[in-house]
Amino acid sequence: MSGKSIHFFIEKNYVNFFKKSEILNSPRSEGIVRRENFLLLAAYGFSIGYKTPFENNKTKGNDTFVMYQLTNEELSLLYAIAISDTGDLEVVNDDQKVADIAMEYANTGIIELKKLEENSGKGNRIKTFQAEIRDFIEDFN
Amino acid sequence: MRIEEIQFENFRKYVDTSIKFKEDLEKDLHVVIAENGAGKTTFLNAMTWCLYNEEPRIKDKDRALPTLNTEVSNNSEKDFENAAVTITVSNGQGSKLIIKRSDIFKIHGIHSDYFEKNGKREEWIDQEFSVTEIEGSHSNVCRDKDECDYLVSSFIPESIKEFFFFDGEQLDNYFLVSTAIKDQVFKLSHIFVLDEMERRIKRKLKDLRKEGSPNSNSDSKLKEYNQQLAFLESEKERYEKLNETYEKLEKERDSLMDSLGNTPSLKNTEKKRDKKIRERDNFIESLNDKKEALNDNIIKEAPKILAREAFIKALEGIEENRDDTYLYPIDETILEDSIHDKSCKVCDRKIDDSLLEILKNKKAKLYLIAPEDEILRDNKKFFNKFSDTAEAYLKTENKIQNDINTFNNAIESLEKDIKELYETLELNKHLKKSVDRRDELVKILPNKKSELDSLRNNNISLKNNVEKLHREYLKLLSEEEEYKDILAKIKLCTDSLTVINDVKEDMMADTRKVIQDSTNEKFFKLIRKSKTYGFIEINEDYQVNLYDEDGRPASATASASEVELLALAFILAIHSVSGFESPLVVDTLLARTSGEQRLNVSQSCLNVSEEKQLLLFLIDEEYSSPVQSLFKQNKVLEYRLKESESEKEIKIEEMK
Repeated sequence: MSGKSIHFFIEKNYVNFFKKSEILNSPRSEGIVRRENFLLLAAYGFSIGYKTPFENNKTKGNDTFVMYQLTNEELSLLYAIAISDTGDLEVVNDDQKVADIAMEYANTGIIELKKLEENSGKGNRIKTFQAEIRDFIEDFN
Repeated sequence: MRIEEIQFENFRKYVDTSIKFKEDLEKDLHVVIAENGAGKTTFLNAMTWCLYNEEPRIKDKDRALPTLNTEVSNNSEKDFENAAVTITVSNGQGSKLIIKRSDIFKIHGIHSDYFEKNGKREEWIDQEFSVTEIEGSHSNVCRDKDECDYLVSSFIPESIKEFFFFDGEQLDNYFLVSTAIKDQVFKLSHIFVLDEMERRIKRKLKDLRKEGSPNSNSDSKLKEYNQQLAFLESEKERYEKLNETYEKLEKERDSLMDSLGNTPSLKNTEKKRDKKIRERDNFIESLNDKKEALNDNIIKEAPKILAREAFIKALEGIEENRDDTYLYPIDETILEDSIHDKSCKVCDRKIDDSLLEILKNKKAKLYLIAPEDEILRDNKKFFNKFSDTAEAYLKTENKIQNDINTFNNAIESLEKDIKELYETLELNKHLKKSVDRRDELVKILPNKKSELDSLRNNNISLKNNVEKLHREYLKLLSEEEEYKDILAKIKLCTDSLTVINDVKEDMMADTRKVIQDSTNEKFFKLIRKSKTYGFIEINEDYQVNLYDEDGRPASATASASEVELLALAFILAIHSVSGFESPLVVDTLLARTSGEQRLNVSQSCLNVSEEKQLLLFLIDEEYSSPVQSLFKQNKVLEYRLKESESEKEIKIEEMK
């Protein structure tokens, strides 16, 4: 699939945060891949419910990964978000659109995550995020 | 002493004959001449038989004829006959010994059972041995065997008779058998007396030791006792020192115990603290692992939870299209072939018109949705799976969180303990030295105590042993007191043995020296060429060695006559050492020499005969004309053994 060479970015202003976020970077986070972090941010942004488009191409930070690096399982997450976002199954035929939707949700995710971390004391950020996920699950149930 | 007369009576071929050796001559040399086999050996045997009841020249005594003359035994008409030899010796001062030995035979008749059985008439019955001492007009006949032997030994002792009855034929080999000479010299130098003394003392010593508690040895027991006692004392001293040290340490420990009370061991506290720190660090490590795991759980699982709505919507969309037969996963080629052949390529069922219509519709829609259908079909299984993720996520999170809480609690508790231990250490910092010393003492004192106890027990055992040794020593002492006399005798005997051995060695050395000096003197008197040889040496083994004037060995180059003269000188030396200036009887002295050498030896004999009686037994071949002339010039008495024509009797005739 040609779309598999599509590059994923996050908002340039949040690149530094992306690198040093307590939640995204555990004490021994050498093994954590940026692809996984991106997916978390995209899902988090989706759960919050709005997208944050790039102002322009210049605001795209360094690319995080390339689409072909995604596993089928990971790809299905992006498809699900895209289908849910557009309500159109045919969106899956458009990888660039799928990627754009994911990046916009990831931008939201990183903005909100930064806020969360800023509002939480050091050492408690993961706990806060955990609590948020737990609340999410409860609400969903 | 000299032999005056020898009388024969029925002794083998000497039936009734005698020989008188005149004394009033310048030279006391007497020559007995005989043809070969004419009774010379019997003569010599008669002499040793008379003196010692021994006939050394008879090789097989069991097969020898009886001493009684055969003719006499065959023809006698008596019931008894005697075979006797009488030797009269004098000391030249009026004293004489008449030595007589007789074999007494019973003569059986030729019709007797004895003759029938044995084929001979004579039967040996007894032997008589007598020595008559004559002192002036007094005479005393002795018949006791031991006393007779004793009297004979005053003439020539049997033990050294080889030096007086000398076989000239053995002269060549005389010095080869030095051990025999040594033994003989040993005898004549009277060392045998010391030997006998030594033997008897040893026997006595053996008896005394048997009698007088031979195992008693208080000295060695006392030595052992003293050694053990000294060891005990040193061990006691060691014990005292150790005990003193122990008591000091014990005191120090008690004092520290009093002052420190239950102050914990700081070393142990440090160890405990360090252990807790290690435990805490391990928990922190584990906690970090768990936090990592928690983070992983969030990173990897949270997206599926957060995007759950998206999955549900995607699935709903797929389901909606399924109702409309919109998304059946049909292979396009199979569908086309089935429509074309009006037969299902999956199940072979015939396709009717209505079904054919549906398939055609399906095919038309297939072209519209094919790409996403394939993608969605591939991802649907993941969409479905994600709906259950939350539960798994929470379960994992709970488990990890529980672990984290446990570890946190443990760390908290350990931190508290560590803090307390730090506080204890800080509090007791100034006591550290004392506490360490107290702890060290508590640790080492039991070992020291055990060492002390062991030493004390050893000392008790040692003391018992020392006491036992002392008791044994006292017992030995009392035994030795009891056998005091015997022990004194034992000591006397052992001392005597030492003295005897010393004397023996001295005597042997002295005797050898005297013999050597005397041999030198006599040899150089006898030999004419006095400048050919330098000296004679007799070594400890009684090997007689001749050296030239330059001290080079010369025995090997000496002539036969020189060797004979050397032997003669050696024998004469032995005579003088022995103290028995008895006659020298030599058989066939001149046989190995001839010409001038023979004459030299003969001249030497004349020289010797100036000092002692010399009886020479010669055969005609030896008694050559020059020798005869020499002897006649010197008025030497000659005797000839004459055998009767019947060869059954020998007479001794003095030649005029």
